[in-house]
Amino acid sequence: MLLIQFLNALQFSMTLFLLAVGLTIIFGLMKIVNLAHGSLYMIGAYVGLSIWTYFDSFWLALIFSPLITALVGAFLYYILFRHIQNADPMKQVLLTFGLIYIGLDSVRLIWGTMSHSISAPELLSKSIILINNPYPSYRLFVIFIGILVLICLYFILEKTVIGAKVRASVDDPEAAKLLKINTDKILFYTFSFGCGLAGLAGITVAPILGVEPGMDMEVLVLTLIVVVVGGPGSLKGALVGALLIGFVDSFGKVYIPQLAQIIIYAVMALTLLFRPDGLYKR
Amino acid sequence: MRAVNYNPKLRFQIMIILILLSIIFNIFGGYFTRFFVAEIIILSIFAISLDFIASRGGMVSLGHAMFLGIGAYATAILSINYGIPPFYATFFSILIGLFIALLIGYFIVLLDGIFFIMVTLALGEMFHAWVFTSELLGGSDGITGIMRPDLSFLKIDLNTPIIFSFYTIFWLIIVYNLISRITDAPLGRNLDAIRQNSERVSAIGGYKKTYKAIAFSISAGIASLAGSLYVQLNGFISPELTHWTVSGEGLIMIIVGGIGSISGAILGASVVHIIQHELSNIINWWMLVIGFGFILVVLFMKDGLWGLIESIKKKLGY
Repeated sequence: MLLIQFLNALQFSMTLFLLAVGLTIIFGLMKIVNLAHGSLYMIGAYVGLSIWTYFDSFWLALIFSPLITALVGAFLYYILFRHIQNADPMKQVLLTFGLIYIGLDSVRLIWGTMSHSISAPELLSKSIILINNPYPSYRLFVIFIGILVLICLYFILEKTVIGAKVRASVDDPEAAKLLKINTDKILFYTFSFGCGLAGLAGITVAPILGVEPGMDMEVLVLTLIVVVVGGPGSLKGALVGALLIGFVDSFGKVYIPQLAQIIIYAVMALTLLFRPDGLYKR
Repeated sequence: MRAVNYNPKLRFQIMIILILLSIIFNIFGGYFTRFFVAEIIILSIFAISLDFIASRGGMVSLGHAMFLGIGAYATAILSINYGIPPFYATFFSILIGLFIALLIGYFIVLLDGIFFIMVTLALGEMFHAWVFTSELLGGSDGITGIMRPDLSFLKIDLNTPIIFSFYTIFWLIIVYNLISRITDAPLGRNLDAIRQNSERVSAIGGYKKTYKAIAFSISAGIASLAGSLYVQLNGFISPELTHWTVSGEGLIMIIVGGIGSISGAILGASVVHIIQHELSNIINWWMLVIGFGFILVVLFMKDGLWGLIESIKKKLGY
């Protein structure tokens, strides 16, 4: 039983990680908290739903829905986000708050208010026996995706020139500009990439949780907490925060169901009390 | 954050016009209009509380719906479970809101802009989650059967819609007076100083934390008052009242009205609520329109309706 719970928690953590990573990178680069990040996650799931319905292939959805979400992100960046980089935090937050409304209603208009479900691909629809316990292989696949993204991100950020440029723009945009790094371009691509990851989180979660309007709100606050606990702008923080919140939430729901919701916030409050800048200060 | 709108004369004029308008609507409107007026007034009180900390205090709270909820639930619990008369319950719930905000504020008021937003959001959601699971507070069903204050010794029956609207207007005037006085008093001036250059304030020995915490708790007390009036208007409360989007909508109201102008908050609350209400009657994709509206206002109307009025007055040569 413990193993099953452990894996469930890990799967949830990985989903949170995919979401938090995009948010935290965007925050690190632009100092903007994008409240519409949850909406992108929802859009990812819905686009995946459409692709899955029309082409009857989960794999196509898995590939194309993050791409389309990234395009939506690029569009948002182009028309909105690049103009508000230096506005005061309240304006930024309220602009993204407006996007939540637009996202929610667009989804309702295009896909209706019904909740839908996507079935996992045949290859992953069976359960795997793990030490006498059957466990849905799809969840293992989600964990695998999360770890894959983590490794790729680590490799790109630490080992490639592009990654070095991104890190430079996060640490010191002025100096980066002086060194002929095109920070605007980097912002554009990282923003879209972060949005794409939110879309990936949406489509990978769809077979587990279903697709419905309002799924954005459920994850948004959790993702924000992950980012705050981990330390905004820090990749390591996003991972540790996601694991912490994912495990506390999953185990909390099993062992102390009445307090499960509150415990996450308590964890956040404690973290902020002792480390006001999050676990990993950049 | 830049200096905020400050023009006591215009503030007072707009306030008088708005109060007169609400009185006229209240007298000549039907049952529904009167209810609607009361709703707008309560939202205005909430918007003023947000306006005060956002503009003077420089603290943008996305968790202020928590205090709305605290006021509402405290009123409900005190009057139903403990039999305290609703009128006193309102006072107690304001005090409870003040006290809780002072405790919380002591820890969070010095956080930087975006951190403050996130922490208040998380705290508000924590309260929301707690309300949802708490049996004492009725969980997801909320609480019903909340009575309005009994003012029969003044020969007033608050259960008639017209009287209750006047009752809320009475509270709005008190809140307006309080906040505009605080704005002009040393507390408001200190807050201005802290917002504009907090390091200099520390350097000359000002009490940053104390002033900010006091401002936060005053604002929370006012939000609690709004919550308390809200349950008395509706007779029931649902946990949805404490969701963070309520705070977000409150912030939109003050942006639309014009930040820092107090009467702008009332103006914003009225306009946003009326548009929301009317639009949702006509079309069912009103949220889309409202979302675009929010974005356009935030992007292009720097001082909201207040700024618009100010510039019109300037053009007319007053």
